[in-house]
Amino acid sequence: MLDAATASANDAQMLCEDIAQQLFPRAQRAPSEAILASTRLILQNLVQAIEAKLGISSDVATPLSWDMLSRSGLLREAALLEFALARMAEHHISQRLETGGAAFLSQLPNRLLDSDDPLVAECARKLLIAQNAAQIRSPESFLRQLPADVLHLLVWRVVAVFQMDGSRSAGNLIASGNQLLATHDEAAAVHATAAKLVYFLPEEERGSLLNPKDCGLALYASGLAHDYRLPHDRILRFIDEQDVAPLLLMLRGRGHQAQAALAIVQHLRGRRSDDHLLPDLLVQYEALDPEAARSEVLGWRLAAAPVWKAG
Amino acid sequence: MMQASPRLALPIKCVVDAEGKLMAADAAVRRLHFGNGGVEGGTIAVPGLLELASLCWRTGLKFERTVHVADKEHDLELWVEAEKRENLVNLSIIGWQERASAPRASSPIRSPELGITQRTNLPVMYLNGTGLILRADPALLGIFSTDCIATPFVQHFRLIDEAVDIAALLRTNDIPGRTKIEHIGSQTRHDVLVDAIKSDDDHLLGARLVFLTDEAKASKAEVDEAPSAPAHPGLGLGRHFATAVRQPLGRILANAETIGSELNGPILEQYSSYAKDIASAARHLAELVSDLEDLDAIDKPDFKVAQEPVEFGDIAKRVAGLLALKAADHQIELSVPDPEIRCHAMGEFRRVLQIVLNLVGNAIRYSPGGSTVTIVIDPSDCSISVIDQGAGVAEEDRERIFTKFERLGRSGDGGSGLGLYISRKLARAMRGDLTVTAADGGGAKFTLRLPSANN
Repeated sequence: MLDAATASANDAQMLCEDIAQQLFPRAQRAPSEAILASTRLILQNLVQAIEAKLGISSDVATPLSWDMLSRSGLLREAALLEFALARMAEHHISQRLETGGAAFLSQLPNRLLDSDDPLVAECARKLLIAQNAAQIRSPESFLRQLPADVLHLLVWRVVAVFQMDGSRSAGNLIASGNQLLATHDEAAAVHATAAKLVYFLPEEERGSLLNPKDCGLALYASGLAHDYRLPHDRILRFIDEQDVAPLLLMLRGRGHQAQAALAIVQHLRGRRSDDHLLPDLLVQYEALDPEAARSEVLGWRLAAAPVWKAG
Repeated sequence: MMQASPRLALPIKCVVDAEGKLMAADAAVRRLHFGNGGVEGGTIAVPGLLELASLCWRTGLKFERTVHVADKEHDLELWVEAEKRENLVNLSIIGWQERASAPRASSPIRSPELGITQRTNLPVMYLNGTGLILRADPALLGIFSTDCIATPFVQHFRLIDEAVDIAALLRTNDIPGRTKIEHIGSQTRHDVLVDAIKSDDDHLLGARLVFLTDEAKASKAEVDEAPSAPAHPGLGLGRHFATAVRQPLGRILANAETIGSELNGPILEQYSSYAKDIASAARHLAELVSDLEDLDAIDKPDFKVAQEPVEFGDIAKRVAGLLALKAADHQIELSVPDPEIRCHAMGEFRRVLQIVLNLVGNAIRYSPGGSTVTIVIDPSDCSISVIDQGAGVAEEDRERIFTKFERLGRSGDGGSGLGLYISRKLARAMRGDLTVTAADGGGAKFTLRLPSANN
């Protein structure tokens, strides 16, 4: 009776929040069923991988802690959802690149393996390894790509669920959690290795970052992220967005002519149902001042800064 | 768009403690810290580094990330490795890159309403482009505490009208936005005008918040009036004196150290020597300013110190960490107590640290090269002592040395003659004492006794 009453009382509050989100969504577009399903799947993969590392095995497809995690709101973290959305975008773009005959692994990191600078050569080697590992879409590979702070947050929330459940030794869970965190190497993730390589890239190679055919998706996204001081994952989402305008603005800010921009757009996005709008957009593109475009994109980092979200 | 060779031949290092305080740093980080208005021993005034250090501290994990930093001249992008070791976070900058500067705000505030508020001198808070509080009127710090500097605005305030999103407000041209915010700690509500700070080409750089509420106005008036009417027997320097002087001094010091350390390439030996002289003089002046500020504070009748548990072993470790380089420069060995010895006293942590720093600093300054400065803890007496192998203090001078501006005939050594006076006053304010005796085998033994936390 006590538990049921408390649960019901809490539910009354949750119901308000759920209704508020549905009645007053802030994004202009409603998420599609496909996006919701894919996001859920990626998050479940992450939780499942963490459970496995904590020594919790189960026969069922859904992670054991999933129900509690999802109902308690412990997964309502912007950073987690951004990660899932970016992995989806990355998958879509990669598939298109492969279908279009473009190699996922480009020439640039291979060439940099022979760099005179050992730091650059090491970064290139790590990027190739990370990309290779990320190509296998498994719970484990998603886990490897997680930023360390996001993993930290998720691990302890999963541990908390099993601690509340009381069926497992808290000491063992904590030890396994610590072990998982201690062995996680954020610097080995694709986004991190690419960011480091872009940062330390020799001047004579920087031109390659302007064309995704030369540098590959990871370095291209990291190059844009570096130029515009935006998160790598946000760039991937912009590239895959239904609306091509954010990508076009980033390209204009880099000073690309319309035809060069069109080639990049088509390379990264493939054929889309709204391609008929591109000619009009390119006319506007030509009329746009590159400095104004750059300045506008630089302003997006404010919206990307998590500190504002609570405001 | 970018410069070549961001990679540094040697990493630039700094150490930050759990509270974000800069415990030790190479010259380049000190330059950034002081350039952003940071103070010696204060919270690291480089928001990106502070954020990374906090993340590293909180999670205990290793991070390698880019950090964007803006000082007055440049936008910088640093590649920083962060690792937590024991109770400190070690930051190692291995890449240092100047970026094309985001255009600086030079246009006047465009809001006519803000123009009026500026004339009426309402308290103002400044945020940077990512929402960190960069500066605030002292009147606001009085209400919201100085700890809010370099932390996210949303940690301290929330918007009452949820329909208004500050980020969106700043990006639009519908400014100024007048809105209500609530201070989370005190739950006080304030009317504010929000104004975007933009460059000539309309690039958003940050925000300015003007507080319109009566409490803020009253506090502002109180602060503004305070310097002109000192009601205490102190030096009457006013609250703003030290802040105003310390910042330019910090810049002189940081620039001189940067030049002297030849970070940007080799320079003629004589110029390097000049730079070191400038740094030395600036350091001396900075210490003097700190002493005068303390003197001003402790001579007030309402001067109070906090009473909190302080562990002398921890203090000794921190002091040794902070002064290790200085000791090495003077060829002096610093001997710290056995870490197993614990002694919990009651006092104000930062004041105890200040006293012991002063004692060890003096000992290093006045001891011969090759000698040892020893920090000893005596739990039975609840005391911490600093013992040097210098000339010692003659018996007849052992009280005189604690008087104001007493130098015992010394000059030109960087001392102000205020350190021991201030230290004893602080010790007594914490219901303890500071005394000096002769050390075994010569030298001086300064002993700080405080009430035990176990009583």
